[in-house]
Amino acid sequence: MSIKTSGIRNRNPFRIQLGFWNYVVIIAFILIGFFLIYPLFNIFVNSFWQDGKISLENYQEFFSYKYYYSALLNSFIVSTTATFFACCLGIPVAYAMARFNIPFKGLFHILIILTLLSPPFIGAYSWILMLGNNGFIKNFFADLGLDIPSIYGLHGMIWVFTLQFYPHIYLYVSGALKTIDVSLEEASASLGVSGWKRIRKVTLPLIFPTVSTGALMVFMASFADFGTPMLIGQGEKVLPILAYEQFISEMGSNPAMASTLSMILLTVTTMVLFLQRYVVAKKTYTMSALRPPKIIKLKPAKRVMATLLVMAVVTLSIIPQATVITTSFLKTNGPVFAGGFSLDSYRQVLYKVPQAIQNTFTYASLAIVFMVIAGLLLSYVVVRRPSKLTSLLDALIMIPYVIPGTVLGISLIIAFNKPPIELTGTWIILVVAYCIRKLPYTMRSSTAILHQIDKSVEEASISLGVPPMKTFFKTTAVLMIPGVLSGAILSWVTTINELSSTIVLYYGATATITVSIYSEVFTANFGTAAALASILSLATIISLIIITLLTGKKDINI
Amino acid sequence: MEHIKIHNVSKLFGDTKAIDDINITINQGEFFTLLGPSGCGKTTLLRTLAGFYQQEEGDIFFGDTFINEVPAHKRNIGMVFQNYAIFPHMTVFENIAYGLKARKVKKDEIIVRVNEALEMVELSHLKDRQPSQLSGGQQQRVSLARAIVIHPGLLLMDEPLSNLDAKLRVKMREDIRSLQKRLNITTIYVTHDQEEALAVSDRIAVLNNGKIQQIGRPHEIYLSPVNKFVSNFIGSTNFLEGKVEAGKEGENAMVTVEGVTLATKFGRPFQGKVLYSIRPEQVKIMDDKETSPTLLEGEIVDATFLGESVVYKIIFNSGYTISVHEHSIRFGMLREEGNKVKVDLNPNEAVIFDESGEEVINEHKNIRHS
Ligand SMILES: Nc1ncnc2c1ncn2[C@@H]1O[C@H](COP(=O)(O)OP(=O)(O)OP(=O)(O)O)[C@@H](O)[C@H]1O
Ligand SMILES: [Mg+2]
Repeated sequence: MSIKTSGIRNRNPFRIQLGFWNYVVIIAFILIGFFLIYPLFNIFVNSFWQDGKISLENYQEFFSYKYYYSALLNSFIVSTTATFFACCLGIPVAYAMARFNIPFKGLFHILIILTLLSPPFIGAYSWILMLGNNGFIKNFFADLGLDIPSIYGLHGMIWVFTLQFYPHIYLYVSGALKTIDVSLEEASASLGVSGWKRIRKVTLPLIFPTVSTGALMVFMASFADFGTPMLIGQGEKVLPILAYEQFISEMGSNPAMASTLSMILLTVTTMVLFLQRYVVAKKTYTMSALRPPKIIKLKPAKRVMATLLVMAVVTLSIIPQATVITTSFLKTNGPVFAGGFSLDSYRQVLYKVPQAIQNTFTYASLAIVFMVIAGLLLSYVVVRRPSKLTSLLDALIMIPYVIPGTVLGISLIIAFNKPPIELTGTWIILVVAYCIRKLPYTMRSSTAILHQIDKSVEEASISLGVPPMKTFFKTTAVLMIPGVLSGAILSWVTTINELSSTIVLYYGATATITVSIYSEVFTANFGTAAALASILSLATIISLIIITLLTGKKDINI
Repeated sequence: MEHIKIHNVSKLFGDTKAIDDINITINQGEFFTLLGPSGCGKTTLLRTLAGFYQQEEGDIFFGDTFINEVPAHKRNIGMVFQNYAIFPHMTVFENIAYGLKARKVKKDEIIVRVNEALEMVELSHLKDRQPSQLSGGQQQRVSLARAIVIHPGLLLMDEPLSNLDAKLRVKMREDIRSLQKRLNITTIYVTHDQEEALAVSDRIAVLNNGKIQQIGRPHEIYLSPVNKFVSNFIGSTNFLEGKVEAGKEGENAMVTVEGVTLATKFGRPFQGKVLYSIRPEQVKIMDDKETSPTLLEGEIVDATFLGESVVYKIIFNSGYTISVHEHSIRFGMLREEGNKVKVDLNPNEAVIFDESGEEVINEHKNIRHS
């Protein structure tokens, strides 16, 4: 046997596979560049553009008129206060649920998740039904001669956001509490630190990083929310509303100012994100519970107290959903409830806006198909083919976390409202917006499951004679499906409930359920609005059940 | 018959050479083991053979086929992984049938061959189980069956037993060995457990820092290590510092160790400081009354009874302690702590290394890089 020396060095054994994955990376970069970076860059440029030249005029205007900067102030007040109160609700509820023997835990847990996944303005809207100027609770007290404050105004927004978003805190803190080793708390107890003091000195500092992540989510959600302030803000404007109005104003839109407001929104969210990361970076303890804490059996009296606390919070937060569903079955005549029950609202909905219902589910389904494919391929590239390029890709995919929906909508319209690419008013632009906004969630669950899949499974398959590409689809891809799907369904749920970018991007025929609810509420057709909202709630509940079945566990990570 | 030829193969990760200029020839049907400490490059070499890494230098041949350019999935290699790498979404049967389906084997033949393989690994009764319902040992058997059912030209195993408990490990290694002989599959086996390597291998390559230290049959490696590393890594040994006055090739040379002078044969002319290596079971303990200039005086400071043997720690006058294994043949032969003894360092079985750690007694031309 003669020794030949190979001519080619450094040949890659994954030649075929890398070829395919290279295409994936290239296509991902092109799509992200086109639909995310380019539009963002566009509003950035736009905000500095006045009368054909570069200027800071827009920003000067923003900071010199109270009309503008008070919106920023309002946004800040509402978001920080809501975040604070959400912590006040979320932490005790999570602690009680994790540590005490409270009955019906599973039910409470599901209801809390359901709260989070309902469209925000359903909360606002049903609080209007209860505490609006003509709300039934308000009327009830008025009959007794008591004048209680109406829901309208900043305090109303804070109220609604708190009740809607505290589940973020609850979910994160629940997770963290499970990872505190019982010995830490025992140790402090043996040192004579006990009760409240121990919780304050030991438990709280330990879960602080997690709480801050939850708080970030609450802040972002409240800061970017569109529906709630639109419905109950009345005179008090917040930033997303202002941006929207500047953009879609009947008195001639002002894209430059809308861009400026968008940039300010983006700057704030980005800064808050980095602030949170900075604070947490110094205080991260990795813990893995060797002995997760036991559930404490409370004495009957205390147990009742703890249960009542949890029940009160959960009930208060689920009331809007209950109100909406009940309302949907009431007989109505425009804004007036005629007494008695009927299915009229549903009949009307099917007659009035069948297109919107169809649109919602079609667009969300199109988006989910794309997200499953993208989640599958991109998470694989990011996790299994780490390089500078793929970690850049990972970072880019996560940008939408900090983009408020209104901003994304505005940026997409400005970018694609003229030839050669005119997408404004088409369904495509909506699906694009949904994909961009929700992909991070699918990515996160896909990456999580991929980390749990043994790498050598693929190598085993290759060595058994199956080419790399086919191997991926026969092994890893199949194993990833539950994780990818559960992430995608969650994205689907938040997509059907999406309002803030849809409201900017829709156009008559492409209206969705959320847009229809919004306009029904504005025209005071409470019955039909409630019927539409109930349809969304039902779809949400079904999806949650599917996820639970898919992942086989009760924990749902939002 | 030469079957696998690895010629001057090196693999770099960045600037570090994970394996460095490896030359190995493996015969058809041979059970060949790569042995070495953690990080010495065993896995890297195995993965290079499998086609998961591409070597920067050197060539690999399977038979007459030049394999450098052949992608992993066309190398017809059976692979058994440390963590089993069972397909979790397939039953035991489907796992084993996987490679046959990829080879487009006919359906009824698949059934026959999978059943055959299941029998070989004694798993016929579990063929419809999900992998999650199998124990570690059973999973490893599935993995083995999956690898051999395709009739691979080469079977690669990377520490297949390291996740199993000690008892099962011994049973499995015997099973693997007898299966391998029965099927006559050329096998490369990776382990860092020297006892396992000695027990199953036809030949062993000892690696350190990516370089081959010695290739040989188990007893050659154990009894005639070519350098200090191998002698230290395989089994346990006593190292004593010594000095060689003058030694001519093929002649007796005199080694002075612990004040006694011993005669031994040297493979090459040598003079200077040496390291005298003698294994615990090669040292002989003599009665205190024996007198011979080649015996060393010592005192037993520790005796550990292990059943079939006793381990003694003996301290010399210089303060140096060696360990000695002695068969516990019959009651009454046990020595006590504090006993004065004489020790025979048994130069005929000793191995002597020069200061750089190279062996100086034997000529290893045939053993190194064979
Ligand atoms: N993918 C890689 N990238 C960079 N360095 C690597 C890579 N794989 C291995 N190495 C390095 O190459 C050397 C050899 O590693 P290898 O995995 O082959 O060791 P090993 O002998 O199999 O060890 P063990 O017994 O611990 O499995 C080590 O120093 C290791 O750090
Ligand atoms: Mg290894």
